[in-house]
Amino acid sequence: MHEAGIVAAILERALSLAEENGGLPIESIRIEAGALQQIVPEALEFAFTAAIAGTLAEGACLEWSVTPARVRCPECACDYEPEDVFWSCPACLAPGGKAVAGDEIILSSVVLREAG
Amino acid sequence: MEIKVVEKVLKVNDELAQAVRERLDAAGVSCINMISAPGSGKTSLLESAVKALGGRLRLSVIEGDPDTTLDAERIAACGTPVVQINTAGGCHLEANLVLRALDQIDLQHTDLLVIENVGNLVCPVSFDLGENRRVAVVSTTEGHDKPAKYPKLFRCADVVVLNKIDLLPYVDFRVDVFLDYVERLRPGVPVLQVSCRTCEGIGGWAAWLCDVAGKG
Repeated sequence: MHEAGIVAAILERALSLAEENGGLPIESIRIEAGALQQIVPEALEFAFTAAIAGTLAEGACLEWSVTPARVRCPECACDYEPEDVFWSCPACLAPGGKAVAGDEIILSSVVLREAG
Repeated sequence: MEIKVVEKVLKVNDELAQAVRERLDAAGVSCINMISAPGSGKTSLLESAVKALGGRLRLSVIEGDPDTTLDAERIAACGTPVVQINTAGGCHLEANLVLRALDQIDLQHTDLLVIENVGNLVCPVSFDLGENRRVAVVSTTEGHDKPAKYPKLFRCADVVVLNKIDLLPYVDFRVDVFLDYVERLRPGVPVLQVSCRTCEGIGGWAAWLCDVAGKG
């Protein structure tokens, strides 16, 4: 359940932005989750709902999209999207590539509800 | 009002991990992060290492567990300095906890800091703790399919320890399949096959620890 730790980090940053902007309530938070982070959507939603209670983000919606994984082959340096857990290069079959995309969770934006 | 952010969610953890790394580097201390499922024998591997090393390497240990000081008591009984972190239910250690624990460790008299993470094959992998090397531990009772099911850990492991090999005659663990999975996920990674009970392979484990600490 690393989703709880991830939600805590997202919320901490979002709440500090809300505070910096006059304590406006948070309407939505947008993140991009790398496919390799193995985020379980239900677990993320659950952790988010539990964490926002009683904060400026209460009632906010968490919008997220998945960034596909990209792996670089250590032999021929081509980039590919892995098809299974054993990454092997579709061009030269070499194993052991390095993730070049889809291994991070990015906080893209926070929407605050303006008064009036 | 939309505020564009575009930053890594775990940026704060990464920065704190870097602070841990810098503090350890400045003190000339190497650091390993041991990750495994609960019960694979991380604490036993440390007890065995302390015995095998016989004072050749000055270890300090950070124990991560959701609750109790049971593991810390075992390490302390070996005469090794130890700090217990209780995560109060948390399933992994984060860099802020390690940074705080460093205040309780005598870095001047430490060659290698060992962080024993909370038993879990998933969550600890995402959190850099400032270590120099990652150790993945699997025991033969867990099954040979673990690398395929938990690939992320094995892709970032600097050494894989296969523990409890004394039980191989009694379990259906296929060492050849396990080694094939590991090699495909992390080509060239050393795999140490050990038993804390019979001490088989423990010399190699102790030697690996010495290498990490530059005392090989």
